Amino acid sequence: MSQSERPRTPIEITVNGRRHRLSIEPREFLLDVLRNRLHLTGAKRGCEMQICGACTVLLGGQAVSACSLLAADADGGEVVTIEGLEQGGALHPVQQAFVDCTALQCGYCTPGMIMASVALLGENPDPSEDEIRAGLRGNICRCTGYKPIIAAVRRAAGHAEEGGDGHD
Amino acid sequence: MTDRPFKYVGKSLPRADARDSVTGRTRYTADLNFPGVLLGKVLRSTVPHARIVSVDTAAAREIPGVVAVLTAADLPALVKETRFGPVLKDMPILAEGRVRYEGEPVALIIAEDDLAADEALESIWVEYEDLPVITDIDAALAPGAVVLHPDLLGTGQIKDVAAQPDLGRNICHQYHYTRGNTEAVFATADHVFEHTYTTPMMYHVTMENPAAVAMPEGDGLIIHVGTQYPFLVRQMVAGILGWDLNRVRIVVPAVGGAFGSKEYMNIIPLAVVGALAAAAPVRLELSLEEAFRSMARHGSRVRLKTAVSKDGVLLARQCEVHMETGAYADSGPRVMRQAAYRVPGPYRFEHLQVDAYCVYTNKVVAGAYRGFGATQATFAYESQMDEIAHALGIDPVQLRLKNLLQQGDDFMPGDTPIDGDLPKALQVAAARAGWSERPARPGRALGVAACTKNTASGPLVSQAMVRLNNDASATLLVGTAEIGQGALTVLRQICAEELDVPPERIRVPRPDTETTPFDQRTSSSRSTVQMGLAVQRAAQDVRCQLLDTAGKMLGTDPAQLVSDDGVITGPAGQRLSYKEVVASFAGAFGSEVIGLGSFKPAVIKGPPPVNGQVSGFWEINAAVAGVAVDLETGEIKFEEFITVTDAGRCINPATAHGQETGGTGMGVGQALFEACHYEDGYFRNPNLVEYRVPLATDVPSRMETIAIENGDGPGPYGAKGMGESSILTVGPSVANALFRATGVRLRNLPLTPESVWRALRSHR
Repeated sequence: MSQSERPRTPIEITVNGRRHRLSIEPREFLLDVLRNRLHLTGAKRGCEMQICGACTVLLGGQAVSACSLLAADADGGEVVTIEGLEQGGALHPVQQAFVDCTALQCGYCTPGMIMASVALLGENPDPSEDEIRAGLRGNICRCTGYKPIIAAVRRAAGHAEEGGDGHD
Repeated sequence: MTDRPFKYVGKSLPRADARDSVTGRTRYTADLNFPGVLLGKVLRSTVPHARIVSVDTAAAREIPGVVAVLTAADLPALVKETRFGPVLKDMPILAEGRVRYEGEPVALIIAEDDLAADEALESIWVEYEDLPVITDIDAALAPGAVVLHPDLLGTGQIKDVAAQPDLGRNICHQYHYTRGNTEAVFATADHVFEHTYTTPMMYHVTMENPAAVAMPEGDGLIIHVGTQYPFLVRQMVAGILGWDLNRVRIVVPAVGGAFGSKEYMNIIPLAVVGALAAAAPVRLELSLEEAFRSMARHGSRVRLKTAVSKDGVLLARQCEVHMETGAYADSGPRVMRQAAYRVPGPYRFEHLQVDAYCVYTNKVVAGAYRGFGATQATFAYESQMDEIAHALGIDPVQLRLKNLLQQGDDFMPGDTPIDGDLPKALQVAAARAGWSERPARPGRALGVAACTKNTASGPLVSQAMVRLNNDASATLLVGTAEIGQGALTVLRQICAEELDVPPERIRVPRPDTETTPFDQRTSSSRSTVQMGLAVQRAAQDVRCQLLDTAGKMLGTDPAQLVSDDGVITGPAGQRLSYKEVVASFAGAFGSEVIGLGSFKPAVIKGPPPVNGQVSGFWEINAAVAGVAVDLETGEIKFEEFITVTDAGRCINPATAHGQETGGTGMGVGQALFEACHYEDGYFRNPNLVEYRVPLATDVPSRMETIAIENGDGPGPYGAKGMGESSILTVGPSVANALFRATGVRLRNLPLTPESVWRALRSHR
């Protein structure tokens, strides 16, 4: 059917502090709305089945897979994406820690990994290494072997003496 | 340069792209937006081997929103050559009369949106007549097997290996090498060991699935694509179109991982024909399942027969290597050739025979993958070293020390000698792991492996340009692709060091064949060394011009000038800033100082080694793995990994060690989890549920990476490349640890709990 014939549903979502009223197709996922309608391309398309974590954003403070959440189910909600972490030009402590620990290489998993880490620290402000590993099982990184990522989260949790540049 | 300590080299400066990546600003192909861009979707074969009886696209063409529907029949009107391939031109853009793997592109839809495209895909009727399926290497080689490529066209556009196919036996290339007389030694040796090792086909699982946007621009074509090889891709696209090179422009955005899967054409020809047919920009983005179905890593079978003296001296080795390359050759012949070259291992053999074959099967096309054949070869030769050690009652580390090539030894006549200290690397790894103090116990043990890999071999050229602006900021133009390895960060640091300008004032754009100078390719761990030398020379060229100009300004011989921190000082204490010198360069008008540098491989003196390529340098690695094995379930808990790599010199230690932890992480997948499963040619697990890649809980919690920095590399400041040797030693060291912990020897990867459990049961 043509674009004009397709069903529409109105939603209202707040993304990175800005309220949006959108007329979406019911089949759209939150990821489609963020990337295609709001041009927030930080959240990435990967597996499209909630395994790789590249699409991780916060909804009501919880980490969610935007690829598998219908946008209509986020109606009335507050979404934070990677683009919303920086405040007034200053990096969020997790972002800064990822820079300091070289916790990224190709960078594709990085937005999702950072959002998942922010959510993790929100629930557990001083996690052990094992707790960080378990908490980030929903985010795949193919480049780093995870070691500098664990160090970055520890650093963001206040353990600045560890991690450093992520190597011996 | 002077003898002063380095200002920027050797420091773990933040990555050039770090801030962009942590704020979501880094843009990959799928993040780019183009007005009027159309969507390309591929209709793929649902059967592994069949004749295409008919393709009916009539209904699809009528769907509103569908702009074009292409099959092979439509291509001669758009392109000069419908088949391509880096070695053998065996791969059609769209299947021609026959499909040879499940997932092979049969038709291309160009549509205004995904609903129209999906409706079109479902409206196309293809009638297939099944053909016998070549399910594995043995089926391919069996007498009377169906021939997959009876009519191969000429050789590929990039010729550095002369294809020696034996098409009647489904072999697309072979390699043979003999020195000495292995049979005579086998007849009299104290011990002869013979084992066969296998690895399955795998997929790279880059986090970014392949994507490309092609758009006509004037009489040319622009292609935005995350590729490792922008210049070779340009050459291949121009080749299929019959166009001048400068009518094709390849622009490389950020690349979300590659590991070899984004080297050659992949989906690019589809984007090209789509854009030409639609006369509009066309975007193709593969789903993860499509990505699984587009590129693979070779499966392998390696048989090693080795003669050893009773006191553990290796005497002779026969190697038979079969690499399963899937339905089309891609770079398979080269991968096989390198596997064959490396399969003797880093050991002295007076007598050696290698016979290797690259075999077609009805599976996804296998190409380059981190290690490029060395991954398969190393698993075999390092597993057998431990089998030999056990049989002779010799400690595995001692057996290796007895036989490892020393620095300066020849690996193969005609090639660059070994340029690092392998025994030392092994000793460092063993000492760090506490090898002598930690004997194996039931269920817990250490395992060791060592390797070398010839790297950056062959005719590889890199060219660089440095443009110093009149405010003393600079732009460094290189065709090296940033695929995560940190290349642009490292090259910027080298430029900063040579130019004596802080890295923050140097901008390094991503490759664009229209503006960045030629680079052969980003592969083979070569960029720090070879593009690094080009960058070094380009920056030095700028400094020379600055000193010459300053000399003229001061009426002094440039040799009398000292330059430090962007200030040039004359013999009488006169000071000129870079800004002042650049301003004077063209007579006080605005201008820039442009420096050029290039790297070309040395002319080969004497006969080249058997694989025809002189190695740039040798990657060297030794590692110790520590595992605990659950004897009830067969699960291997990979607890620790100490890996030692000869880095030459770490330009940026953080990114260098990142290559080691990253290679280790991928090695964990190869060792314990990853395998593409096929049944009768049908690919059963092209998804992340059933194809397991390592998660944060799967990698060793103790992961130590040690870089040896003896300055033994040919690159700037004695640097070597790195990033591949780290993956090679993971699989065999874990298999060796498994044996030492349980007495069970597994010769097939991955070491899943099921395979360990079964072996434990039959071992009892």
